[in-house]
Amino acid sequence: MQFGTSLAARHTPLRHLYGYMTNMAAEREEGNVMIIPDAECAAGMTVKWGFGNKMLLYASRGPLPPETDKPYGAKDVRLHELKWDTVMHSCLVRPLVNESHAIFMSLQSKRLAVGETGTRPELVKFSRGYRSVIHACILELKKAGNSTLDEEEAAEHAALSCLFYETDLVWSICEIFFIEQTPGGVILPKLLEWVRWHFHRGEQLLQELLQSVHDEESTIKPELHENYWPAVYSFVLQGRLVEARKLLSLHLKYKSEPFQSMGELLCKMPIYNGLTGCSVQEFELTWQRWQDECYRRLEDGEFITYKELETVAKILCGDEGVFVDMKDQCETWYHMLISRLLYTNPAVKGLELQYHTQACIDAYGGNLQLGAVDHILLSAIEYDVYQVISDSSTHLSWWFAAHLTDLLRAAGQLDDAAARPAQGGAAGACDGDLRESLLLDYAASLTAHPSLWRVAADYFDHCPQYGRHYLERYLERIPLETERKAQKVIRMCEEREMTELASSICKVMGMRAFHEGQLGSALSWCLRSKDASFAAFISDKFLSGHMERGDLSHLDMLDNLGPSTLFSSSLTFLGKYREFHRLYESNDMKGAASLLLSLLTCRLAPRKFWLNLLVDVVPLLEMEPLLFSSNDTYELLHLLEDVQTAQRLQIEGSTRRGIESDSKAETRRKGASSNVEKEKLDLLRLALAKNLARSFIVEGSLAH
Amino acid sequence: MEGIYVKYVNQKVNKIRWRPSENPSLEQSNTFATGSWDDEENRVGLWTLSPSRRDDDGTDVDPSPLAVPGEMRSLCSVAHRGDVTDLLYLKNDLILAASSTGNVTLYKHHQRSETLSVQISYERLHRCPRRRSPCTGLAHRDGEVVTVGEDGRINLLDIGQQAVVRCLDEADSCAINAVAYTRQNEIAATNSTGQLRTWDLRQPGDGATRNLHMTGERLPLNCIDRHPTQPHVIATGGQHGMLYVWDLRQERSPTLLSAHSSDIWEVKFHPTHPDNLFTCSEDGSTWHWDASFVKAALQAGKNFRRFLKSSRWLTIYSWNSSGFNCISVKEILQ
Amino acid sequence: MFVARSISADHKDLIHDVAYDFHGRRMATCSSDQSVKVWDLGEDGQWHCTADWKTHSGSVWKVTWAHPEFGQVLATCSFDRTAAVWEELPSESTEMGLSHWVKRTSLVDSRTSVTDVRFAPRHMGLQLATCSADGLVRIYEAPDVMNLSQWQLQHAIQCKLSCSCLAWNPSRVHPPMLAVGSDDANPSAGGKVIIYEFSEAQRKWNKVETVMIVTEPVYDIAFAPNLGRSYHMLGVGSKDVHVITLKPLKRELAVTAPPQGSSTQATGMSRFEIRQVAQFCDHYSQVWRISWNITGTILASSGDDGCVRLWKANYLDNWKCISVLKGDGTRSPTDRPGGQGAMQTSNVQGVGNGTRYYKLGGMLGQTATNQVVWH
Repeated sequence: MQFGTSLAARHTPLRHLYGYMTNMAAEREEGNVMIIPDAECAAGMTVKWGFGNKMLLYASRGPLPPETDKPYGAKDVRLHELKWDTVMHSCLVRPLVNESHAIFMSLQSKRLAVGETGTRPELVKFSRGYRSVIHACILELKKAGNSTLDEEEAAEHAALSCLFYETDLVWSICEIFFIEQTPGGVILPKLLEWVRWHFHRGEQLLQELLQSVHDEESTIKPELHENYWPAVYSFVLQGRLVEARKLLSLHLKYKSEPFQSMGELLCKMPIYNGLTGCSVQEFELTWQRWQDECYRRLEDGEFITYKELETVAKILCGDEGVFVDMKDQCETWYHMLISRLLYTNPAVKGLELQYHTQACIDAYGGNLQLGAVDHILLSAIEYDVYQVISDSSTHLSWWFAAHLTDLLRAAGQLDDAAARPAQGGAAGACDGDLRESLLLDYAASLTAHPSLWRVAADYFDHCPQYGRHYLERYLERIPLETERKAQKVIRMCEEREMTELASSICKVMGMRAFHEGQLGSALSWCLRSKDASFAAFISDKFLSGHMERGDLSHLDMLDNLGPSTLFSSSLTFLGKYREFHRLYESNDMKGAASLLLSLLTCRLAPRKFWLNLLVDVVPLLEMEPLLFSSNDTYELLHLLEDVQTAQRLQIEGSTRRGIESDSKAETRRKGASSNVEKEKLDLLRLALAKNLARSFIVEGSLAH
Repeated sequence: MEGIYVKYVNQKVNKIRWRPSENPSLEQSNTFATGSWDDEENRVGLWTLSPSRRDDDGTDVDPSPLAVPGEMRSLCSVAHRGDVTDLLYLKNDLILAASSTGNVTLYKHHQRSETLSVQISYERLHRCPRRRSPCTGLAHRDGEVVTVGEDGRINLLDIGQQAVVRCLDEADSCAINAVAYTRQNEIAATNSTGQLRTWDLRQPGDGATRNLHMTGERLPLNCIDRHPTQPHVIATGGQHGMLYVWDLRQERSPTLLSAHSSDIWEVKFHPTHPDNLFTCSEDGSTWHWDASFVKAALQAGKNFRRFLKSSRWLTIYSWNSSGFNCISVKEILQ
Repeated sequence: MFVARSISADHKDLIHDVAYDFHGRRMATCSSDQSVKVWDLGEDGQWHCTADWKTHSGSVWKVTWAHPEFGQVLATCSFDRTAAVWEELPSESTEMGLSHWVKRTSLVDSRTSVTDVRFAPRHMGLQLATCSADGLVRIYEAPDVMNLSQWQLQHAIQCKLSCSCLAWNPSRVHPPMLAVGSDDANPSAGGKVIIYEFSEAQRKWNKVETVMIVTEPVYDIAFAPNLGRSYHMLGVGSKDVHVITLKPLKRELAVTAPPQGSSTQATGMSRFEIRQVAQFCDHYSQVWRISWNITGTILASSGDDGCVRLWKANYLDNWKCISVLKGDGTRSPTDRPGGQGAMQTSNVQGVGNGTRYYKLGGMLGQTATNQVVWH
């Protein structure tokens, strides 16, 4: 076997953390104990889950009785961050993730087009597609494994390629049993193909043989090479009779009677392929005739001079005993099963297969020797789809279980209603669906990788019941290093009408920009979030900036707020206030005055900003011609009163608080600033009074 | 458009650029650079494209007899810190890469050994007080390079002197997304609030010389390109798949073209056939526009579009300096 | 293939709680040494401690992050009878890479040790629940989410039992719900998990259920994130690990049972069908802490046996232990592998900040022996 030795050192990560739905002793918890090398942790520890595939472990002790506290005297307190790189995170497996995603997506669109079950040949194409992806991945892994010098890395590659080899082995048998339709229900030709695809012992033996023959041409005859007969047996056992005959023809005595007789038998063996139009019954008849002939020649002792030829003849006759001797040639019980059936019951139906397995298993040491993959294959042979899926989700990968299940569902092989009573769900609350639950697990394993979330999203989209919730949960947690990534994530939210989430992401981005002191960016995110309270907060920061420095910052933004400011009154105010500045700067005093007045009278501004607005009025009051009518002036006076009352209350309040909080400097500073404000207000009062007088005169003269 | 060649690579490609060929009128470049993003380890890589049969004209083609036409083969790659946010060929062996860490790195391609090495690294060109800020765009002209970033900063670099010549620290209040030279000493940049602004680099101060903005809601503009022969014509792509064509000579809103169904990530005029404009988008399609209508459209304010090919591909388009080879990269396909 | 790294936490005593922030790029730790540390994941992929300050004058029991929409905000609670809200100062140019955290408020209402503090789910605004050994659950709210120094005590719920832990129900569709666990040692005091629900109409919190299944002292409690399930799932760490589902009964059914004008109908309170879907006694006598993974599909628990156990349910809600983690002081992370089952050291790269890497290969050998090579 090509992966033979590497198996002992294999890592199959999923089998540990995700090992569930299994009834095998090998997977009981004793097998899954992991050791954390930390002295403090030895007395107890606690774990906290993080995002994706991470968790943190740290030493801890049992809870103290209520209302107690004591030092523990722990030394060298450490945190252990654990993550399990799922198989799909390996760089070399990325193409598999992406290519199979493409196949998955096209399968989904097919299903949408033709309804629940597609036609069989089409599904077989999809199945082959998946398998060719697995195959490409194995090749890549092997290539990488051969080129690396790092032993550990090579072992990892070997383990992964072994995993995918097993995946292909199981996938292809599932394809035969559950997806393909076999003509006449005769399954053996397909299974022979399966065995030939996965077992290359005959070829390997032959290659070695040819090599040594070529090297030392004169000394070694092919038939004397130790590989000669094992190779012949291997070919015969796989039903590759052409190869077997060719190999026999290399024998020195090929021209002799026994060899010729064997050659004839091999040549004449009937093969059922379902295409020639002969019925199963007809085939069985010709087969019986041929085997009778084999039996006769064996009994007649035609091969007695060559015991190896006799062995071949026994195989052809389907002799029970000889197969046990073929243990090494068959390598596994399932190869043996198929070889045996080829010569004992070539027209066997798929469903009958399970009655022949036990003898072969016993030949390899019985049930106790069966590994995980054996159990999966056995379940497949028993047509137990659910067992196959549940075991392979544990032992192979979520990738395999999810994609195969999806395909089987398309093939109409899964009926969840039938599965439920068999498994006997304990909780009545459960509303599970096998396909969806596996797809969710697979997609979740992808989201743990920093860049596969986009692929995961498509899988979530095809989980009708929970997919959306999962996706939402992941999308809101994706770290957003750049605005572009944020934009992509927001786009995904919008496409799925997760408006609330999109808005929240904008707010998070805005908040972050604000914390970095990038008020402009914060404002632009705020506009996109359409959140009024956040807008109020940000525009307030702009106004406080104005109050501190006496001018507005980020003019390039404020000049260009656009219609999006309308969702928030505070932003509208900010925009309008900037417009006032612009009008003032461009000397449009009339426009500036009326805008300012309307800003004041509509009470759009935050209260603490009123004084600033009133101070802005002062220069306008002194303009010629008159800008504020008497009514306007009254209005302004009212506002002034309001501001002053509020101020008085505030000062009183703050002095009271000042005593409490004992911060005299603060109180003093406040007092000083309120003195400045008082001066400003006096100035304003005076200006208003003057303006009132002027307006009376102007209005009076107009009235006349 | 003779065929689509697909290759799955194990990274998410963010930017892709053809290597300029020594003699654009004679030979077609068959080498391109890619930059990946959003991975634990991002890479800048060089690839070669086996020439399609049409080009078998005795020029130095791939010696490998196994090369399938259109097969993409990795030449070399080098790890890059942070997302590759922009790529720029300064010469045919010098590649400048912008990073989400705010760094800009100059890589040299040693053609004999097929390796990439770091020539110069400008650290933290873009930054916030506490965090690094992504550099988002690069543009160059006559040995000068301009970088822009999410921090609203513009840097002017002199590559020959390996120095930062000038910093416009407060060029923009919000993130600048892309930049292009309009002429000597003048650049145009787009930002996250739908503005197109130009700076005259000879003028003192951080302020822009011109502010142009779109009407309606201010959506982010993601990318920019200048018409190769008419420097006052600027194409920008934005959110919701809108393509905007601006005329810098006129103070008015841009011509608006409704195109893709999602963000346009890159817009490019063909450098030698400027009547061809290409856009690519988050929606997975790449559009080829007939830009000979640009002039007419700018005058009449009419919509124009010609839909050439749509595929489910995503993200990136790059042009070859002669001919219409076009490579798109599907995010999932990698 | 657990790849792990070990970080020297530099706390002077045991860590009581660790919290990842929303995006998994920051974490906070709190300890018996009365301090809190904030760690940032650097560009180099390493955790760097960027803040370390003394927060309380007693052991700090819990630390928790507010949603990033509200900024960079932490809450802590302590034996010193207070809970506190901390905010990172915006962009103040401190020494590169370090950040400053300021106390925005100190919640001093409790007269006993504050045992747990939790921010409400984002959709409920900026609310904070604390519980304390005197049996009171307090709900605070910052009416202006942008002003973290103004917190008002909105509700105080008397539980009558010493409280050890609390959990908000994260569900967005259900009315606000809190589960409170008590470490009262007296089994005759009844159920130790109490469910409260906020009634919008009455503007108050009402006790809606007492989970009678759990009568032993409870030390930790956590709702699984509700990703579209029709029921709520609660993990409880008591003597055993319990997984309890709360399925809201249809309003019509609840109304038909009690006579007209009964309290149920008047308050519009929901009633639940409470079931225990799993119970694990593997931790011997006491479970200390539990934690759900991000999708609420795997529950981790720790307890007196010194182990951490991971539990997962399949799609039919059958729960199984999928992994056990165990501390061992006899092996240090720098040991060389000593045969099958030992952990292997991988190349130590970029060590700084007391970080060590190692691969845990402990489980590989065991499965390989149990599992017959298939060919």
